[in-house]
Amino acid sequence: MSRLRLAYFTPLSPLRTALADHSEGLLPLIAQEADVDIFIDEGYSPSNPRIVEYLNIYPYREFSRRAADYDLPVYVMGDDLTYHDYMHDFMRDYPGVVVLHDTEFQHYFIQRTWARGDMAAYQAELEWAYGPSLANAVMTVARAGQIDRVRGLFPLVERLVEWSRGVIVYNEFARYDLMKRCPGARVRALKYHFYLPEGFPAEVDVDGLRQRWSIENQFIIGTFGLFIPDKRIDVCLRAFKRFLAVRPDARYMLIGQNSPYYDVPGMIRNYGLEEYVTLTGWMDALEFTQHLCLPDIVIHLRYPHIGGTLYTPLRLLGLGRPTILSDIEILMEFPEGCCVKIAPDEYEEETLFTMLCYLAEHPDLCQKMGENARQFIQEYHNVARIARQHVEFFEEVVASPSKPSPQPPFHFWDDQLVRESAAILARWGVSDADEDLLQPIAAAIAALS
Amino acid sequence: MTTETDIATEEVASVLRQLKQEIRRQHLRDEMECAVGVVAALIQAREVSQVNPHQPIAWPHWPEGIWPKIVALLQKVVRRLLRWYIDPLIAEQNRFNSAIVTALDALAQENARLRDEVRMLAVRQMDIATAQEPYRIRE
Repeated sequence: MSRLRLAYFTPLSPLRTALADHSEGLLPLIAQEADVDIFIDEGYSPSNPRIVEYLNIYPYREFSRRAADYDLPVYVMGDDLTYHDYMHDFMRDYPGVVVLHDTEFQHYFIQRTWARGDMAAYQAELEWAYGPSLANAVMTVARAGQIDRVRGLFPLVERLVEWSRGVIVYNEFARYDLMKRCPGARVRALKYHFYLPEGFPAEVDVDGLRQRWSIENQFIIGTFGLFIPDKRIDVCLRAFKRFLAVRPDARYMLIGQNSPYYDVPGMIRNYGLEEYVTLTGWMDALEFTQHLCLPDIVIHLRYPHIGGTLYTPLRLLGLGRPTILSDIEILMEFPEGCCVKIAPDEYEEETLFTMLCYLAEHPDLCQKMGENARQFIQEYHNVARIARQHVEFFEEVVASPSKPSPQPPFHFWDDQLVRESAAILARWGVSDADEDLLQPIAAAIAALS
Repeated sequence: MTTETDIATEEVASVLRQLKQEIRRQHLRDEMECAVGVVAALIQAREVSQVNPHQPIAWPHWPEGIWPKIVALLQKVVRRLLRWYIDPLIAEQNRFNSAIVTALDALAQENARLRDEVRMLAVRQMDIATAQEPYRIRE
């Protein structure tokens, strides 16, 4: 059987997105089983030597000319127009597999339409996905600047799924949610692969890193990534401030980039923590990953989320770091023995503070958790196996008809009857799990046809 | 050989699948309508929550005729003379309105959080955790 020929649309380093890091870890292994060409946006030169040396990289404008050379385009998508705008029209015109790192795309579509002065286009997207009456209600909310309150229920992912021939997501909750919205779609949930960037040392010089930041003899708490409101840094800072009374030698490292929409430096000043908290700024993938080994305890909260699996926690667990995570759907698949999970409820700060104190007093527990985490990641997030699963899904999509087969054909009135029955049952509070109730109803409907 | 019973069973299974799917979609749609309806209503409530004590009189145009103009002028004078009494009442009403809208907003946010918690509990029932037991830490 000839090798699959893939056209891969993805951001690459040095672009400051975790998706570049993710793709660069996976593509060399996918390229062992399929022929891969990469199509990138204009305005930068890819910097990862492993990618540049071994794979063909083309500007995206060349794709239309080359499209017939490929069996399948693959589009790596995230909720940030900056890195994914160039793929948009190709997803529509050359349907392929969409790799959804997020499952909410409100910000993406707002940036693409309204932020460019085209509010009508944004409304049109809402109407296409949700119908006119819901679209009008969402527009009221969006005009008031409060779209974040409803973005989870109106993710605007439906268009991207509709265009696709197949979708890959990276957690089961995302798959479940997408299937609810787009029942006819072909959606596969795979796992994020664990890998370390090229050049990652066998032993990280943690003492050297501590020296660099002048924190040699301190007890270090760390949080990583892009600091946005969902990371709940305000909660972390308040808990840390209380923790200082227990461990005056503690320091808090915020390792990553601050978002202009979230005033973390201002928060640090307001809490009087300038001497105890360091905000490092952006780092490249290699330096960032080495810093994951720096803290004694890591906090990685996220609420609300936008459906995508979080990449940094995966690396933290794979490196055996004691990590406190939010207890949310997208992290369900990480067992609690590998990390600590806290609910994003009204007790969140208190729980976080209590867990910091407990873990600080029980280094043996931290060590055991770290060992468990390393073992778990090794077993379930193996990069070679996951790359193979990607290729298998691509092959399955290529071998299938252009779109997944629709629902079994019904006569119109059968379909209508099912829909209306479902609406009444749902209004009565019946759920899809009430099998005993639904079975005889389904039999009665089938008997009528 | 496929029997009539097999076909009938397959049809029922097919209807059942579609019924479940439609129920899930309907529940999702109900949740969407409720959530956005609450937020949209709150926004509209906040927009009208502040009462303006200075209602327009003979503005932007004076009424036609001399007597309507005289009446309008008298109303303007009375309005100014009663400001000492009306403005504190309006201010108190506005404080109450703001407090109510803030309370409703807090309830809406709590409702949204509870909805997320219910979703989380439903997801737990799905049992999608990869493997828990081998990693449990026991004292």
